[in-house]
Amino acid sequence: MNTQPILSLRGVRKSYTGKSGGVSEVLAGIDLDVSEGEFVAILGFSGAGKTTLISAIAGLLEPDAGEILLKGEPIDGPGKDRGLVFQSYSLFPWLTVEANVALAVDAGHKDMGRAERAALVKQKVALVGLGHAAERKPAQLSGGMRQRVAVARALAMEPEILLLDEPLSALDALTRAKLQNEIERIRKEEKRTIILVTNDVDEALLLADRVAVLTPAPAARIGRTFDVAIPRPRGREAMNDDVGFQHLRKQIVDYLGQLNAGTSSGADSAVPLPNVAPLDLAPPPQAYRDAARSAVESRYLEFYKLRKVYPTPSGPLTVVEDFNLLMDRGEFVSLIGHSGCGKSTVLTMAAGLNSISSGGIVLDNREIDIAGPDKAVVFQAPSLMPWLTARQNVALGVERVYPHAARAERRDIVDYYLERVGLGDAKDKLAAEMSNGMRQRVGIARAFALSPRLLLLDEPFGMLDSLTRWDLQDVLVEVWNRTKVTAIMVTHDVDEAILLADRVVMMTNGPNATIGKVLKVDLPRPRDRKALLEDPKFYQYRQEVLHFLAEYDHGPAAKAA
Amino acid sequence: MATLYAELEDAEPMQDDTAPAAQTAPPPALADAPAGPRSTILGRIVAHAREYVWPLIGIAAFIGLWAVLAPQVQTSLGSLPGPVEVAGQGVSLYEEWSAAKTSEAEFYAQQEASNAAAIAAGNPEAVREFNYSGPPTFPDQVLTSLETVALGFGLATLLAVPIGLVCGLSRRINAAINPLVQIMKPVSPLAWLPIVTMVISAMITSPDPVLPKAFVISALVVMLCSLWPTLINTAIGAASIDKDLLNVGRVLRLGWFAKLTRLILPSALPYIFTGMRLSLGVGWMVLIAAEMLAQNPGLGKFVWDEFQNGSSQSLARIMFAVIVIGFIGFGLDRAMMALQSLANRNHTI
Repeated sequence: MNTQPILSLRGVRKSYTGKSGGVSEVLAGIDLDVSEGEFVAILGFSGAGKTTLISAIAGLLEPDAGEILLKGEPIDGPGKDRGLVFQSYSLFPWLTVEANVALAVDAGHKDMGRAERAALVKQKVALVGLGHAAERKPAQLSGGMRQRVAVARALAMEPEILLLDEPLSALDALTRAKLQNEIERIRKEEKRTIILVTNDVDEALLLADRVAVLTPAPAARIGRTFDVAIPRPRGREAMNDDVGFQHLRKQIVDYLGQLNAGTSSGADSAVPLPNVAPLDLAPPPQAYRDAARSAVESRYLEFYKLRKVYPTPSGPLTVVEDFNLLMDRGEFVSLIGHSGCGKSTVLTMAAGLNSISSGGIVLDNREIDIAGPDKAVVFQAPSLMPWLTARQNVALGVERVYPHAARAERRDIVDYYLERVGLGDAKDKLAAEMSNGMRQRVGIARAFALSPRLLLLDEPFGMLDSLTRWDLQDVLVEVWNRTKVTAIMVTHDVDEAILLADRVVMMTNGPNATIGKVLKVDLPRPRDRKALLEDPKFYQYRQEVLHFLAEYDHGPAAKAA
Repeated sequence: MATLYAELEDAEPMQDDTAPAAQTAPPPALADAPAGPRSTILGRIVAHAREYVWPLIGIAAFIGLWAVLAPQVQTSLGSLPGPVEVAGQGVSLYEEWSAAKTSEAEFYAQQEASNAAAIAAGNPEAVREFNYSGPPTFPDQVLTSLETVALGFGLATLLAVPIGLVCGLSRRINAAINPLVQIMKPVSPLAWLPIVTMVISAMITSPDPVLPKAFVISALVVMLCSLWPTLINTAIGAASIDKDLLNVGRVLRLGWFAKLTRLILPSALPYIFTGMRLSLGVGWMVLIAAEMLAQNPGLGKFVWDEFQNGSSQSLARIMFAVIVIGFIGFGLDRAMMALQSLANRNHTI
């Protein structure tokens, strides 16, 4: 590195003055050098000041102190040498794809002729793979396509540096993977300097030459940086077997865990759980128990030829077909597959929230036909009543399930589970004042506090950034280890599926989705994330799931993305 | 359903408070001054005062234009009064009120004295308990107007919220009621008035009713006109409850009453208050017209009487009443806005 860096940040600081006059320091001296043609990923978690940093580099925001040098010259406001892609696409909805890109071309290349500019627009639109959709309006595009337009618009300025501000975090996993490939291709073709802000370790490792970790708020600075020496091209499956990747991934995960050490969860509960059973879970008479015992342990939950048909304007559409699964009592199954494959449909049918077209689901010898507190659900959105406190939210369910328990006992149940999920200090906080991670903790507490026969988790951590997600996975593992409730979890995240489950059930793509493959996860419990990341078996399982997902990497979602 | 929701746009209950605090930061010159508690306090006062500079300039410009242009307009009652004459009439209205106050006090003092004298003279039959019956003064009329609108608005809310909730929760009932709402909504208070008058006159026949007839008529007209915004917004609020929250309700198997009180009402509350704020605004506008015609002794009657009176001060008095009407409407709206933001609290996720 004897050449001058194309971009260098020297002690960049920024603070905001709050309404109450308090000053919060967001960036506390960022130092970073980026050399020409390099791909740097800045890894940080929500609220760490990533967007502030990238806005400062883009020139949209003036730092309080420090300087940002572009080829040795201090920057002065936004310029066409730095193209920015926002997290929320920020396209003009009344313009076509081409017109959106043309806007940037016209602004950035006033010296070019009309024909030249039109050619440039065509080239950039084709570069992001949208040649067929150039005449469409943003409203007619999927999220992935919109983000492609945004990338094309940024590239149309022919910037020297491309700044990507969490461009993929609003997209689902499959689309995200496709766009990651796309970014890699653009990097290769255009050979530009790219700075990517992300909260996803795998994304950073897949794409970047160097990963710089931003320490958590407040007063963020660059913590450690990691050089990613994995040879390109990097395939997801091939990388999984790469020892260097495994090692680096563990290093970064450990480092992030250290940074996050302050907010550990699952402190020991001061409140013992009172010994009351929900009314409808109270043991049946002795004679009945003797008669029923044998069957119920091993075929506790049974899906039999489950089928779901949705009527559509173009005729009935079979989403799920011939779904058969037997689960033992106390088993944890994760359901994984591409988006739109009907995972959530299966889950909502098991919850009784969605009617069953044919076939059946039998839980503990009773057919599921209506929703109820014995089939607790953790939704993707936390779905708390924002006007109630954490305790009231959990109590709402506890009152329904334990109407026969004393008031003090019910209170103890609520407190017990809130402490289990690490909210001992925030029991009386309103849900509206909580962060998303805290809300989902309440959602988990609410579900467990119902003492359900069956726990259903519908992508419970899908909306959280990865650090919060890890925290909550640990919380879930911890609470589940104590209760051993039969559970099904729908997820997109391979690591999550393996970490939590006894079996990973992989679904084929819809329509007519069914079970493609079942993977038995034979890892000792209780499981620990760090230990798992060193276990060769874990990478073996990961490989199997990744391979399955790659095999089914097509279908309706592929066309749309 | 779409037409019913058209009102949502100006009824958006969310307020964007998330804008960065950059605008409210003290000006750079002050921020650079030597740090000390005094300079920051001073800075904040200055920053606060700056918010009022432009509104004050606007008001001053308006008064200036009024003062210049009003004398140019000639009417049968002389030229249009300028701000000074109007303010003068305000003062004279206040004087009339305090004069009425003293004469009322004198009346009661006299009555008491004569009663006491009668009792002392051993003649308890001569004790008289008359009420003072001078003409209503301007503040009395303002009070009557407020009472009328409060009754009308209260009735409208009591009726609109339950109907709105039912509409929001049932597509069929909504489909049944929606056309009626859309047709009744644009009807002017002047059209309702004769109907209401006839019905109320037929119903209230006692010579000394609990509530005066004109008062009831005005209040009912206010109710009929201010019903709709609350009804429509409540329906929107009840229909737009988060699907996941409803699913939570299903999983917990909440009964209908628990569902109503713990789920539907709280989540529809911001919409209901938005509707009520719009309703109160409509109600206050309608009230003046209703009072003019129903002869309810409120602000509307004051304006009408002054118009009929046609003295040289009448125009100035009417203008003063217009200003008072405006200020009261503004005050009511601000009060509802405060309630609305209270209801909005803890509702944003």
